[in-house]
Amino acid sequence: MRIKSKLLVIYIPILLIGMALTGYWAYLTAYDSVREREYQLLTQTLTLNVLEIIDERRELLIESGLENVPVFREAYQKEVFEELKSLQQATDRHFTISDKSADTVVFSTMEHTVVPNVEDATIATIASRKVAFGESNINDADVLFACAEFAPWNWKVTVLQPADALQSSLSTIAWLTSLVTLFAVVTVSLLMGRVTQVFVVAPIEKIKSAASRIALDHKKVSIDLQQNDELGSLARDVEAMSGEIEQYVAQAQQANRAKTDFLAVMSHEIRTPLNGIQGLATLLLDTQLSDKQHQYASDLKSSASILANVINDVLDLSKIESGMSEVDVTEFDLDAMLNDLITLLGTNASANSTRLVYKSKNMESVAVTSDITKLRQIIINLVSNAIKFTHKGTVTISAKLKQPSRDTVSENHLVIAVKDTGIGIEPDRLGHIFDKFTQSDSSITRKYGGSGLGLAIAKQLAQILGGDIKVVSKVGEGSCFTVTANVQSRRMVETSADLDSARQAERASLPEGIKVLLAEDNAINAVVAQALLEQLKCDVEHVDNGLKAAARVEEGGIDVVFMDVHMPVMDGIEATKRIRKLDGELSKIPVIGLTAEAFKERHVSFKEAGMDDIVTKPVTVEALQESLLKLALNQEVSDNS
Amino acid sequence: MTKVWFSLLFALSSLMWGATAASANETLDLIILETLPAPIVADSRAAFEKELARIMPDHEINVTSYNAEGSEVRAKEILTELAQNPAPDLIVSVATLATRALNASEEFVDVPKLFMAVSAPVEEGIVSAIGAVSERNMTGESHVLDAKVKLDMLEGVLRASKPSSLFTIGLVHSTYPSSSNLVNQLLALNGDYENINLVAVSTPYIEGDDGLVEMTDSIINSLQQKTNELDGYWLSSGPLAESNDLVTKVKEATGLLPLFAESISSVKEGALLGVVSEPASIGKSAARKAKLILEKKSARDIPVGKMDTYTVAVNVSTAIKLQLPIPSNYLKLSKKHVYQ
Repeated sequence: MRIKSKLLVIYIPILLIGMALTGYWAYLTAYDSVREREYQLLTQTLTLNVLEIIDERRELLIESGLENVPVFREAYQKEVFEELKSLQQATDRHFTISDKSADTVVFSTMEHTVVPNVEDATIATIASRKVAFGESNINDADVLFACAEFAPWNWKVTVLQPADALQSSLSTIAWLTSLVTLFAVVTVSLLMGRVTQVFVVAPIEKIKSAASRIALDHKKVSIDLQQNDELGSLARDVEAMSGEIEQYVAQAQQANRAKTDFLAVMSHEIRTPLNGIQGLATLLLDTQLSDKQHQYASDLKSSASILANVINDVLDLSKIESGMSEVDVTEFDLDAMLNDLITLLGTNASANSTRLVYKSKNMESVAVTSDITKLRQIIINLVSNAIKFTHKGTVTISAKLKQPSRDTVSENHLVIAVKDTGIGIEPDRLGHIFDKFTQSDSSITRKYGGSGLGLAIAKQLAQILGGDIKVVSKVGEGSCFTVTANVQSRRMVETSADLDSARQAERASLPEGIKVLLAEDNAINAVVAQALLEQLKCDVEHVDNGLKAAARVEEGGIDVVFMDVHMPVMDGIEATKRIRKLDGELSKIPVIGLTAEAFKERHVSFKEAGMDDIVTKPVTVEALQESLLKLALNQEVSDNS
Repeated sequence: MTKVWFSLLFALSSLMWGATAASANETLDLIILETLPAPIVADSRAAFEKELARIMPDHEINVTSYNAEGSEVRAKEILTELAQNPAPDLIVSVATLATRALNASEEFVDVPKLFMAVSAPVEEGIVSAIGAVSERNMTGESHVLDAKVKLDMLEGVLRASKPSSLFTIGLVHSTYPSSSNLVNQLLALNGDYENINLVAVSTPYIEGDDGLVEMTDSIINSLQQKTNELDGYWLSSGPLAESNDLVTKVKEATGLLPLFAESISSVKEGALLGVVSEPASIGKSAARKAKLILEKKSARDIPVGKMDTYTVAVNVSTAIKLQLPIPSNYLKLSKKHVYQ
């Protein structure tokens, strides 16, 4: 509910109550006033008219010495009666005169003479006469009455008036009071609504709008509010706050950039020796070793691999949290990708005596558009975890698209469940398993290894893809992680080009004797890379900086260049640019970057400098082969085209 | 030069003072012609003289009075004699016969004339109607209340006491003009009232004091003859009403009491109700008109009217005797004239 509506909802009942109370008070005041006025008129009629009429005649009789002359007295009393009849017609009030001593009515203007009960009457002295007045019920009708005595003639004079007129007046007053109250409530509500709009709501909306702009732009705002009250002060504070936010955001962005740069450097600096360790361990394992030596070399390689994974996890998390993890959308065959992963991870599962089962629904011949890298990372993480914690059991991967795909691209929802029959998770730890650096039990880290970042990364990646990861688990029975993601999908129609491409990929194999120039300043890495390339039957020539590399390419006879990015004298970027500036075919020699930098945006910048592909350290023979094959395939395709 | 200026200034001042003094002492000659030496006539004249002297203090007013002794012939003789003298500034006639003679006189057509104590100026031929001006340079006021008003008042008294009774009332009068005129006016309205039946009881007008005694005896005789049919009588205006002890004598002879009278003195003697113009009021009102005329306003331009001040008088003893209580509003009006 909007603030104006809220205020009105609060104000109107308060106003209604206030006005109703005021109206009721006004009604009571008017009620008393009208009653008092009626009684005043009644008593005045009695004292100033009726009693004066009587008294005037008596005085006249006394002055004329006729007070005791019965004929005159009776005549003048008759005159009084006649005058009262006239007065009754003029005033619509009734008059009754009774003999006090005989208690008989001597005159009345009413057909049926009645005498009101004066026991509860109010007594007052008006015009030096004692008058009793009040309200009485006579013959089921309310009447107002006033009565007084006229002692010289032993008369009790009563004036009666129907209460109808009074009640009608009071009814009118009640109506008018209600109408005026209602009108006042409506008017005051409108005025208050307007005042609230002008002085409260409009300023608040301006401040709210400014706050929204701050939230969106993180820029300093100016609020057009010239009030010198609390809202004006708030506006000034918001303006000041926006300035500080702009400053803090700039600082944070700067700090984030610094952090990213730091991570990039650290990534490079750690990966470079790690590359050497892994490479050398791999090379060592290919030599003649005793069983014990082979075990040591194998453990060395495994440790280096774990360390590489930890570093990758840290980098991934850093990228996600800094908001640098962007969605790289491509269209791919998700079913095939998952089958490949099952194949890849199947070895680990077999080692753990665990069966890996894959099921899919609505996935066959469907092209899915999403970030394949992130999806693969999530699934690998979840399946690896499931395998890790399942001994002699089954890990089932169930993937489905909620809607069957059509020929055209349409929105869809991907659900992948990874269910294992492993050790399960304690209920009290289930809520924390997606926290960073958290495993269900510290003993697990010791027993099963891992950085404790995998699930946190997977969950955040799923959220980046518009979905989430949920888990249900029971200790001793296993766990089920369900990944959801928003994707687009369409039914695939295989073309001849696709089939050709697939066939070519199957046929592709590296020719022997490719002349490779390896530009690498780190001697160990150079040894590792050269050994791995030689395993691929390449003729490797090594230089230790970019300048030499460019010069060697210019001399000719090189088929492909593996160019380290960070090198003394001349780095790989500059060297690549030089090569691209060479004449003729030399400028088209494929250059594959070797870098320990894991951030994708850096890879993009390397490619913009002229590199054809990037291989991330620590290099493996598979990565080198894949890159060489990719280049060879592209070359072949372009040659064919 | 200065002496000349002072002399001129002194002469001018003396001239102005002399003129003012002459104006202040201007002498005005007035002739008053009375019809007869009746109290109402004499008292009206006295009140006139007194009021005129009061309202015109800067004038020396010479008043010469004449009395026609109740005779129109005598009044004419007096006027003929006066015509031999220089014309006065104003001639005032009091009562009907003197006024009739003055109005008829050709010698004083150009002299402004004023009458008072005349009951019926229209019937006397002075003006065609009340409110009209006279062509004979005469103006004045009728001092008698309209006959209808008087009958209304008497009817009010009778109806309040005995609403269903018819009172037969004898209209006692002489053939004196004002008296017979008034009776004629009353008789003209007879039959208009539920409680009043008027019967004329007349006697010829006879001049002089002896005539008054004769008229009294005559009217008593007439009333005696009608005693059984009368409930009371109405004492009309004129010389007969001025007769001493008329009311007492009638009461002794017939037992009848007057229900209405045209003079205060009659009410004092026993008339139930009277509505009259008092001589003082008649004289004062005439004096105010005389002042206008003496200040050079033409009498031809002043309409003949009726007096606007009347006095109500009641006799409560008569009321008690007749068991006719006077209504309170009449009793209130006659506050200073309630007689026992």
